[in-house]
Amino acid sequence: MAPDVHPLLLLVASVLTSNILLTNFLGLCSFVACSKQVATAVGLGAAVTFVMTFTTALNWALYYLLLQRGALAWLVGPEAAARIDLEFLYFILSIAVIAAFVQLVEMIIDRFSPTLYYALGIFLPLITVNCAILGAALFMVIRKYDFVQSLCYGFGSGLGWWLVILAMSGIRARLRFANIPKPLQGVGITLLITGLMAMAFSAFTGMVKIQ
Amino acid sequence: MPGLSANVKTFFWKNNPVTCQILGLCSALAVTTQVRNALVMSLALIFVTMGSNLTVSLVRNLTPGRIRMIVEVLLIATFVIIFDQILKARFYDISKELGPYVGLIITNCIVMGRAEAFAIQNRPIPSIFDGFGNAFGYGFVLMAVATFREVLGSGRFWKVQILPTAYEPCLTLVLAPGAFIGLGLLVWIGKAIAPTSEGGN
Amino acid sequence: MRESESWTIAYSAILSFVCAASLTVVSSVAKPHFEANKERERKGLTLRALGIPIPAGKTIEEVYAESVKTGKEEGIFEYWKDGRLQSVAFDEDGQGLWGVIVAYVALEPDLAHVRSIAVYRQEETPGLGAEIATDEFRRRFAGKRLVDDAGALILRVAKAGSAAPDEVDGISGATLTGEGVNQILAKVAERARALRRARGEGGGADSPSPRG
Repeated sequence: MAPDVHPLLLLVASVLTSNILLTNFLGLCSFVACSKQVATAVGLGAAVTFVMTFTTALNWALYYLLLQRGALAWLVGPEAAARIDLEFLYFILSIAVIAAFVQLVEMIIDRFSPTLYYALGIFLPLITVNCAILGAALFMVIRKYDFVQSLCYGFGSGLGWWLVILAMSGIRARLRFANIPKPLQGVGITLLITGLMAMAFSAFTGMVKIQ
Repeated sequence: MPGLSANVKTFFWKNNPVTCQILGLCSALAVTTQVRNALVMSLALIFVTMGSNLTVSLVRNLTPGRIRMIVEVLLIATFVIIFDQILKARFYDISKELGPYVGLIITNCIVMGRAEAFAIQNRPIPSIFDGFGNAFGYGFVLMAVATFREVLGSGRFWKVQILPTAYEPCLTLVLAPGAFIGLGLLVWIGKAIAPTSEGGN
Repeated sequence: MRESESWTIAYSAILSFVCAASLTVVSSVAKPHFEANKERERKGLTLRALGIPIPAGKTIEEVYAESVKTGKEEGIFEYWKDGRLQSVAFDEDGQGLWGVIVAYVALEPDLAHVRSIAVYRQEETPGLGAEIATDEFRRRFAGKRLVDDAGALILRVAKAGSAAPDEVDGISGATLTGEGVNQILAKVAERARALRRARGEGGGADSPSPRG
């Protein structure tokens, strides 16, 4: 049964107190690779948020209407459905949903706004392997969110990811003038700073109250 | 073709998937709160990478170019699910501690990266070695970070108390920030010992 | 030929089929073990909550089968030893910060004092709210009085550092998680009250007849 959390509360919490990057460590590869410039960070973050919101919703439908034990009741009746349990296919099918959605978005953008397509460039295919998106789909199922909660959770997680990569790109822009030891440059210092950000964000804990 | 030991040597330090290629970061941070979990995740990755590299290589001459990435994902996902099912059936409590991170191996860039960069163009046996070498290097990083985090963060190693109780554990290390910092330090050490050409911030 | 449309479709179909088939095989082999594991975990937790020791040489299932009887209602477990009721455990849930908290609360036969609790499902923050699943937190409940003579709830998880003698100290930084535990305590108190009424007792108890 779904937890009794207000969806908007979930949204705020996913951005600040339970940030998918800082507390669940998801979406790190693209984060480290693409946080060098602010423009890049803005573009990628927007794309990730968009995809995450919709694929979380789609994967919710996939799990609760097709895969869970008894989910197929609308198709074959409750008694037969109670014996069909396709949960083990969720990993594969949720990835398929994400890949298909990204492909679809790519095609639509290319058709209706070639300039935007050009601007986004490599980002769209990159999103498919962003583990934050699959991670959000998995966590949503584990926590048993209902549809509206899933939508808010997906949107909030995307926003949270966007916030962190944006902040990091700002910081890294400043780092160009800092005297960082050679072995620490790049990945090393990014990770250390992310750790400090994680500590800073943990100060938000307790800000969120459940009515 | 480089043999098994050559693969291990290369991907251990010089071209370590995590510290040098910057792949597979997500699980490296999530499961390194305990050495035991890190070991299981390393074994999972060795199993999946070897399996997927092998199967991708076996079908490389049959796979149409257009769908090759989807095929790679499909094969990787299959091995991940197999490992997950085995874990749930035989090592239930570990499975609960690892949670969704076993499933997230599917998006682990190392597995996908090796399949795309090596296995799809090379013969099966070298692919297996390549898979093993990379996953082994990854496992090493995981164990190193996990040792750092578990020993200093909770005084324990493999859930056994090894530091005297007078030691006040540094709780931050087993929480999220400690993961980032631990890995950052390891990357620093790694690059100081075996410098790569990458520079700049 | 490799790039032809028909081969692409045929290849995809064959590969998907092979993968799905192997997964189905593995899944059906693994499932009974998985279910057994879940059941064993549940039983182990019930035993721990009720304070039933597991002697060396016996499995969880054996000890469970001979010591635990389920009550007439769902979610009630009774620990019987040598014909006497030792403790009663209630399976209840509450709303934590991130998700549902589910726990067993085991009471002494008087249905007024807490013997132990065992939190077996929670999604709270590791290191903060998740500490409610640790032994240290569990120990804080032993012997505390849950309800007064009239059956009203008096036990609660207080904010860390401010607990009265008859309350349980909470975890600092996890006040909301503590509130979730309080919801569980309230529900258990309610069910304990109903159970005592059903047994026709006022206050204090002696071993009632076995049931279940």
